[in-house]
Amino acid sequence: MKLCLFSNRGISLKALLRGGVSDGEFVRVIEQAIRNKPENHLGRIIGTVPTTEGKAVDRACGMYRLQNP
Amino acid sequence: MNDGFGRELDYLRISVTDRCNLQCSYCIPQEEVHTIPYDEILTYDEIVRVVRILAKMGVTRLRLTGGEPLVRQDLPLLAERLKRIRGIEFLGLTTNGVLLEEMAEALFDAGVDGVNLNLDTAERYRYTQLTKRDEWPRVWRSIQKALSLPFRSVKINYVLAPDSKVDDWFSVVALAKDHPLDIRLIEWIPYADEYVKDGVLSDKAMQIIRKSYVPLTPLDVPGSSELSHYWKAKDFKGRIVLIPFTAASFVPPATACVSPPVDF
Repeated sequence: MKLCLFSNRGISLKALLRGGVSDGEFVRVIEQAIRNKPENHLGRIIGTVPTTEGKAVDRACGMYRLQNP
Repeated sequence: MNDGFGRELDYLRISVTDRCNLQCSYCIPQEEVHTIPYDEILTYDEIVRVVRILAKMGVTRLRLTGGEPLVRQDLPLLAERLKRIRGIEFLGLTTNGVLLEEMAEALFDAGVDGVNLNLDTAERYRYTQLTKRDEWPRVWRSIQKALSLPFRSVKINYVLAPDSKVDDWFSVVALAKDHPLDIRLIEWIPYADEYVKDGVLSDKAMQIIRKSYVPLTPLDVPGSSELSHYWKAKDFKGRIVLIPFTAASFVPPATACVSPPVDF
């Protein structure tokens, strides 16, 4: 699972799934990975934009990508 | 589910295959193409399990991508299983459209809500030149087929890549004249660490389109993402949507494209 639409970095879910991981352990791995999600992409993409709620989000990094393998 | 910067994440893109039925020059290298062995690709059972867990963690929206997702066997079966998962509210598909005409009904019946078609041109000769396949007639039929079904959305993605041609922009934008399509002009973002050179900024592209192809006026679309800027041309059935990513091109929609048109 890639943590940014435009990044090659991520974690291997296949190894977990085929290694017999429990759902609970799977969740813990995902949560750990999400905490390490990059703030932005290449440092070139705008860091934040205001949303209607007044929060700031990174537009290019506000999503995941599940990439095979 | 929030990341370390407090951003709420509810969207998962699922690349179901690395294979494709086109050979676009910017994507497929000239030399031999190496694909991932089938047994190394997640099975449908494995994908469904991942999505079940992530849905419990807050994912509500899914998008099936590739490669070209429709070349994976029995994709409607996966779509149906994913859409049945509790918490999944939207299932989208991004495709090159070559196989969509024959699969569109099965995908709709399976629960696919919206279809995005990636296009680099809407002119047959250029399409063949860019993709190495003479498939534009099939893609065009696929667009018409998708529009004939009650999908929540049918959108065209056009990436403003560094070497994109203005005539290709115009050919794609022209699809909105007679059809209720959203033509999304998306700023190019270098993948991973493969930065080569800048793409075309969306506001510059819009200036060129407005000056040299068709006048456009901004639209206020309630509920749309603040990342999508909607525009409409007089007598067009569809809309033009700017998707900017870089700081240089991001201005509030109300003030977008007020600078003088650029020459080219």
